[in-house]
Amino acid sequence: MDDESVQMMAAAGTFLVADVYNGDYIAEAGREQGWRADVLAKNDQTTLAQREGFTKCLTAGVRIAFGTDSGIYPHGFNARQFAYQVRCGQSPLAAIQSATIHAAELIRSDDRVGRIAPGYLADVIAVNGNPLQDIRLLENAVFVMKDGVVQHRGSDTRAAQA
Amino acid sequence: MPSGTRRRHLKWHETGSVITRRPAGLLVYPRLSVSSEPDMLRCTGYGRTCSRLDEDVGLPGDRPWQLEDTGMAALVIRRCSYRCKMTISMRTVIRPHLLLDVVTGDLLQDHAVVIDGHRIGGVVAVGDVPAEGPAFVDLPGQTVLPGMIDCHTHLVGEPGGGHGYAELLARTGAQEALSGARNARDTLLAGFTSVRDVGTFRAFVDVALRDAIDAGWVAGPRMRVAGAYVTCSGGGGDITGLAPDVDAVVPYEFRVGVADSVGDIRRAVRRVLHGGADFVKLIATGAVMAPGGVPGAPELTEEQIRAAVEEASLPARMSPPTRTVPRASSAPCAPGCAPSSTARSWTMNQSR
Repeated sequence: MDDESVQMMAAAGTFLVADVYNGDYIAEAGREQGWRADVLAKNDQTTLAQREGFTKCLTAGVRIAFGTDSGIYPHGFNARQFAYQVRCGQSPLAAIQSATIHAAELIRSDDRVGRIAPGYLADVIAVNGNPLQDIRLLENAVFVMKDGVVQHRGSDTRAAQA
Repeated sequence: MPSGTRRRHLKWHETGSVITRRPAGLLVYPRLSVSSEPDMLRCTGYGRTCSRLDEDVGLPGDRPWQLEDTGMAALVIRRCSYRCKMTISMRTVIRPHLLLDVVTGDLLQDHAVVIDGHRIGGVVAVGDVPAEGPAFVDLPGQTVLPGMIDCHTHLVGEPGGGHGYAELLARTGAQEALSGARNARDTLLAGFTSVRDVGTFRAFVDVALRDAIDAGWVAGPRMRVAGAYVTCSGGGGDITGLAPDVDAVVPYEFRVGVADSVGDIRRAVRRVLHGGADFVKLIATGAVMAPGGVPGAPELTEEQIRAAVEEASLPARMSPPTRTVPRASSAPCAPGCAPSSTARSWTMNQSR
């Protein structure tokens, strides 16, 4: 991603959605599972360049929204990407914002989702501990509510209550 | 009823009692209290859980009532042939150790989140929560934050794809859809309550999955869907890597969005939007996962991209009558792609 592209994105307000976790997954699981050699080679060529582009965009003030390309890797691992975004230069808060307020803006739903505020849809999750101190806590949601209905309460929740 | 809520009829009943089809466990007995609004009876739940509404909710009158779904937790009972309706909402209070305000980064202690039906009622100090009435969810030691959003998922189909796209032809549409139901559940349970799902090779399975989730048939995140990939022939959204004599007979549903001329691009954009897509996904450059694709190499011209944007930006007359189609667009680009054609609120997805 060249400097001119980055500047144009920043000026236009274009969101960057970069699946910076996926490259590692493909490199590891793809080799184990014997994926096509051309796919693995292309992955190797792009993984580092993509992460450098992410950091470049971050520095230039490009808006960043969270997106992982799930389906390449098994669904449910989505939150593994937060640690990669932090490694590429985001603060833990900024990484969380990319998957809440900024993502909501990108999908034009920022009046409904992405915040815990009056009138917003009751989509609420919980993790054990403080994710600003350990971003990887997001990889284990122990409570999930969507539309006001509890979808999931992990066994960790019960342990904490006991 | 909150604006934007879709009404769906769940069940008629004849006798004054209502049996809901909603999953057991989270509905709340309403206490019927009539508000002053002439055509609205508002009932508030009192924290008890039940699976049937008819056990002690004696609905007044002898006329049939109609139950409508307004989301996962709130129900509207409308009395037929009257213009009155009744909202039964559940009030829940979540009391975590910490509440993360994702706008400011503040971590709030001793605060509770009040849930009214399917919406956030407010964030209040723990001391201000009434001791009786609502159902409490206590989360000691835990931090609460908004449900997360992933703007780049592919919920339909089997994960992987590193063996080439011929594998897609070994599965039926039904298998793709059922895999999608599993994937949607796994995504939701990981804390992602909304997704922008950017494409399926078998057209419109994502639309069906979105609607099934909205209807409460399967568990999953709220979806915005692309319907199909708008891509050039042999591009990242086409079925590539097939033997040439097989390639010619790939079923239409795999190539709904495959287009080359500017006119065909316009037609493809109209097709996906008319089929129920919420936005248009253009595959602008070569994809890592596609056999033959070269990352960074243009697969659409600027003229094609501009035509697609123009077509997607037309007034909503193209959309099915029951849906409003937001016109967000996304142009996945591999590193190095010049985004000269991207406009405000476009995305540069760095795709595989």
